[in-house]
Order: sequence, then structure tokens, then C-alpha cells
Amino acid sequence: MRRVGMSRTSQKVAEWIDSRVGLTNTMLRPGPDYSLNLFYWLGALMVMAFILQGITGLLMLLYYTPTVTEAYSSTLFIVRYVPLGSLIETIHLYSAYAMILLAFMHLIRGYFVSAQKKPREFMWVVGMLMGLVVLGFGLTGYLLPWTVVSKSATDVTIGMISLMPGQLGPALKFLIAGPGSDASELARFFDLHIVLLPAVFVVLVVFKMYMFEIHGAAEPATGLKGKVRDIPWFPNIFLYFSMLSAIFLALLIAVSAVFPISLPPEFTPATASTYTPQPEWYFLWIYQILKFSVFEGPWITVALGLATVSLALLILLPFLDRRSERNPARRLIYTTLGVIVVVEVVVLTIWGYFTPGQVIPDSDAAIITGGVAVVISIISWITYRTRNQVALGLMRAGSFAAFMATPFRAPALTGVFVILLAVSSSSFATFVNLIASPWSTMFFSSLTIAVLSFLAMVFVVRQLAVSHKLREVQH
Amino acid sequence: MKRKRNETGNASRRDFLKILLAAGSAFTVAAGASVFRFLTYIPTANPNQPATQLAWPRIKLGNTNSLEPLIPLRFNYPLVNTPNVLVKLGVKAENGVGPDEDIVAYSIICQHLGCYFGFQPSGSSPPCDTSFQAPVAEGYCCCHGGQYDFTQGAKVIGGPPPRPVPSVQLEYDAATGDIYAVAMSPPTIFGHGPPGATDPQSVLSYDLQGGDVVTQDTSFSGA
Repeated sequence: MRRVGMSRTSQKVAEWIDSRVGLTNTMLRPGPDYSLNLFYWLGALMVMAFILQGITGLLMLLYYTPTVTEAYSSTLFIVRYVPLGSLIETIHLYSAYAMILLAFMHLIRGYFVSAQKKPREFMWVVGMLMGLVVLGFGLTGYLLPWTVVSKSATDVTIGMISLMPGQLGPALKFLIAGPGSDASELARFFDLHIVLLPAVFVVLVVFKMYMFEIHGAAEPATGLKGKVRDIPWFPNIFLYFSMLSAIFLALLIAVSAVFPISLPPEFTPATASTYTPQPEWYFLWIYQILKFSVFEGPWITVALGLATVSLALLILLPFLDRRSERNPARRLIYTTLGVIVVVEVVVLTIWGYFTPGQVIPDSDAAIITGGVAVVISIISWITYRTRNQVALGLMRAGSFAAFMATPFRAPALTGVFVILLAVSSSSFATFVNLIASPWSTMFFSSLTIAVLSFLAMVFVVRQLAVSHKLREVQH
Repeated sequence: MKRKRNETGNASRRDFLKILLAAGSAFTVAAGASVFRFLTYIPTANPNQPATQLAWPRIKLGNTNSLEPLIPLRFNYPLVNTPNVLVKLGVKAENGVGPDEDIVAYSIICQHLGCYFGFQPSGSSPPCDTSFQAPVAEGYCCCHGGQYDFTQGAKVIGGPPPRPVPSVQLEYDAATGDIYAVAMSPPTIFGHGPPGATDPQSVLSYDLQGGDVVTQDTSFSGA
């Protein structure tokens, strides 16, 4: 059987290797046609980013010195003097961002299409652990340049860890940051970042790939349309993934070249007292929750405890939600919960970015987080009631592009929606601002306008969805 | 008949597996316990130094003649990585020393979550929030807006800190005008031992952990 685009000799070589390695029977088997979809490759792109992290990280190790006195100057040396050093350092940073973003996307997609359900429960658990390792990479890597922002933010994190109850706090703090000196903190974070975490990550990747070989890619959550065709690994799947990786790498390198890293000043007690440390964007939402004034003081242990419990619940999700239904449109509670969490995280992240160092009054915190939850529950309930699965079926392969195009096909409705969005958000902001002095006319009018414009938005979204649905039926 | 033969045939193998499992579990538990002991050993004091020999260092910080009012002087005490600030407030203050009893020194590691904070004279604004004006001479922490009133023993007057920062006990030599740092007052410096420990022996042993004790040469890190 002659392969496409191969000479006789190269085919012989390939067959000689394959008869010994056996890849075409395992990893390089033909794949189902529905897997030629970006959402099926988020994890693979993450592995690409991880490899890139390994390469750029090893390159930086040639010049970086992990000591308190030289960490900053050696980082600055890479950025300023080593040829292409700035690019390498920037790629390492942005590739880390990409990895974290891809991890979140992979998690969110997996949640909504129930990829964790039988028989892939352990893949979910291992994936969650990998996600934690990725966040660990972010936490430990952030400290290494020893800038005023990164060191101060890391110290806040360590300070929070040491607030855990009983002996747990000091013990954890000792494990992560050592007996308390800056030198031991940097040394441990460096070791975690370049030895322990990569080793754990590789073991988990291998375990997950092994399970993937057994179970394959999960079928679309909305069921199969017609018969599944198997697509040959070479050239189709190979070319598809090469294309994805090439686009990913090209974007990463282009963005790194256009927006190179700029190092904040070195950490010293003098600079530290003039900067407001802020964690990196992927931790901003946790940061924002911990700034709620209820969690300042002894209640912080409650917040940390709740976070630990929610994380444990998320890791054990496949053992909690054991129904076989995978269609998000038919899983009202889990889909609604998922959307609430995603939107809360986005809102908290943006909010945290704009309020560095400000303690958030409990009333604001309750209004905004509670408001998001209520609004989404209502939207979700209305959508569910009207049996309109479009908004919930966003992730469904194929219809996503069509759905995204809907606003362009109905410009009048979209315009109305944008105006309503502006009106509702500004009146909602007015309402939140007046929460401290309620019962005024402005308070009630802004609340009324916000609620009315919000209901009108729901109506417009329905109309948009209906027009989309009609078009889908016509096709 | 077949079933019975299988049962007898597998009996010894099953026993062997059981023993293997039991022995394996026992070894795992034993090894795990040893590793746990290894992991959770937290030195309570510098192991090279017997606890009885622990003592606060005595460091000369400067002379009253060279101190300008409201200009903070940063120094490390009792360890090279535990910064403090010394300031001549110009008005008599709690814990104040010197001819006017207005010279105070406090740890600048915030008791909330361990950020380093700066000194703000009354009416000045911290660099991180120019809309805020300090109501008194205070320490203002940019992380979460914690405020310590330097005229009242670092009493918390704003933000989330659960307790005042520890003060550096100062000694004033009236003959020469020299100022010495001689000890830290409770509570423990943030990040050193359990937060907020106050008994003198814990404060001494915890504060002296996690870094090198200062010598005269290393105590200053610039104003």
C-alpha cells in the first residue's frame, strides 16, 4: 500500500521504523472525522506550548542565576544583552500565558460537552491535576525574575498559605518557601519550576496520552450526524495539526516580537513599599475574591477552605455527575452552573485588574457576584423553557461559526442589542454606585432601567437565536 | 468439578498475592510515615546555635544630630532580610526615644499578608494611591491599604491588618546622641513563626529564624 507523497525508498524506511516502533497501530491510527475541529486539539496545542516552554526555558538557564543578588541582573542581562534574549524571554512568558489560557479553554470545553463522563473519568482527574501543575508553573516562574511586582505578589501568596489553620499553614509554607529567608524561597521556587513540576507534568501527560489511546476522542456531545468516517493519520490529520501548530507558533512569535517584555524594577524593600503588587491575570479572580472585605482578617481561612473544597468537587466531578446525558442543552443545572462560574471568573478578573489593592465592600461583592449568578440563571432558564438550544449549543461543532455570523446577518437587531447593552450596563453601574445610599429616586430608576433593558436584551437574543435556528433548518 | 480445581489451584497463588499486598502496604505506610516526618520537620531555632544562646543583637543605627524630621531611614533588624523604618516624627510619640521622645522604629513587613510598606508623613500621599492623604504620620501598605499610626505604637487605623506591626526597641545614649536597636517588641515579625505570637521567648526564637542576624555593617540598606 503506497502512501501519498512518498517515494519508494522513504516508504521503505518508514515501514522499517514503523514495524519496530508500531506507531501506526497506536498513536498514529486513523482518527474520526469529527475530531478535525479546533476544540479537539486544545490539549495537543498545550503540549506544543509545553515543549516550547522546555526549549526556551533551557535556553534561559544558560544565563540565568537563581540567587537573590543575581536573579534580577541575570534576567536583565538576557533581555538586554544576549542576542535574541528578549525574544526568547518574551516567548517563554507568552507561551506560559497561552498554556494557561488553553488549559482553561480545554477545561471549559470538556465541562460543557461532558468529556469527563464514562469511560473518561480518570482522564478528567489527571487533566485537572495537570491544570494545577500548570498554575504551579505560573506561580513559581513568576518569582524567578525577582522583580518588585513578582516578589511582592509571591510573598502575599506565601503569606496567605501560612494563614492555613493549625500546623498546616507553617508546614505548607516550609515545604513551598523554606524556613523563611529570601534565598531559600527563591531556591525552592526555582527547583519546583525546573525540576519537580516538569517531571510531574511529563508523567501526567504520558498517563493521559495512554488513556487517550484507549478511549480515543469523545464523540460530539450532541450525538453523531450520520456515519463516522475514519480519516487517515497521514497526510490529513498530520497536516491539520501541523497547520494548527504553525498558526499557534506564528501568532506566539509575532506577538512576542511586537510586544516584547519590559521588566519592572528589581525587588528591594524600598521599591516594594511604593508598588501595589498584583498577581498575574490568571490569578486575578482569586485575588479579587480575597479582597472582599469579609475575607480580610480571620475569615480568610474560610475563603481558602471553600476554595479547596470547590476545587476538590471539580476534580471529582465525573463521580458526582454520573448521568450519561452529555448534551449541554439537556443538562440545565450543570450547564447553568458552568456558565455562572465562567462568567464570574471573567467578571472578577476584569474587576480585580482595575482595583489593585482596594478592599471591596461586602455589599458590592454580594451585588456583583450575586447579580451575575441571578442574571445567568434567568437567561439559562428562559432559554431552556423556550426549548431554544442555540445559546446553549454554542460549543456544538459546525454551528459555532454560523452562530457567530448571526449578528452580521441581522444588523438591526444587533444594533438594538448593543444600545440596550450600553443602557443596561451604565444603569447597573449607577445602581451599584448608589448601593451605599439607597432609597433615592436615582437608585430606583437606575434599577428599573437596568432590569427593563436586561429583559429587552433577553428578548433580542431570543429573536437572534430564532433567526439563526430558522437558517439552520433551511440549510 | 472444574470450578473446584480452579479454587484449589489458585489458593497458594492467592495467598501469595495477599501476603505481597499486605507487605507492600506495610512498607508503603512505613516509608510514607518516615517521609512525612522528614517533610514536616520545621526547625524551631537555628540548629547550630543552642536555644539558650539566642539573644537580640545590639546595633548602632545613627546619631540624633544627623536625623532630619520625617525623613525615614530604612534598616534591617534583627535579620538581614527583616527591614524596618526609623523616623523622627517631630512630635512626642508612643515608644518614642531621643531628647524629644519622637524617634520610633517599626517593622515594615505588614501584619496582614507580609507586604513591605512605606512611611507617609501626615498629609502626604502614597505613590500607589495619589488620591489618599495620610491623616497622621503613618505606615501605609500599598497591597491592601493597611494603615499603622506611628504616633500611637503602630495602632491599626485603616485596612485589613489584624494587629500592629512590631516596634524595634530603641536605646538612646544621651551623652553621645547615638541610637541603638536592642530588641524587637511583640508580636513576631510577619512570616516568622505563627502570626501574632506574643510571648517574649517565642518572639525571640521566631524572629531570629530565617536569615542571618545583622551585624553593624549590614544593618543599613539606604534611606
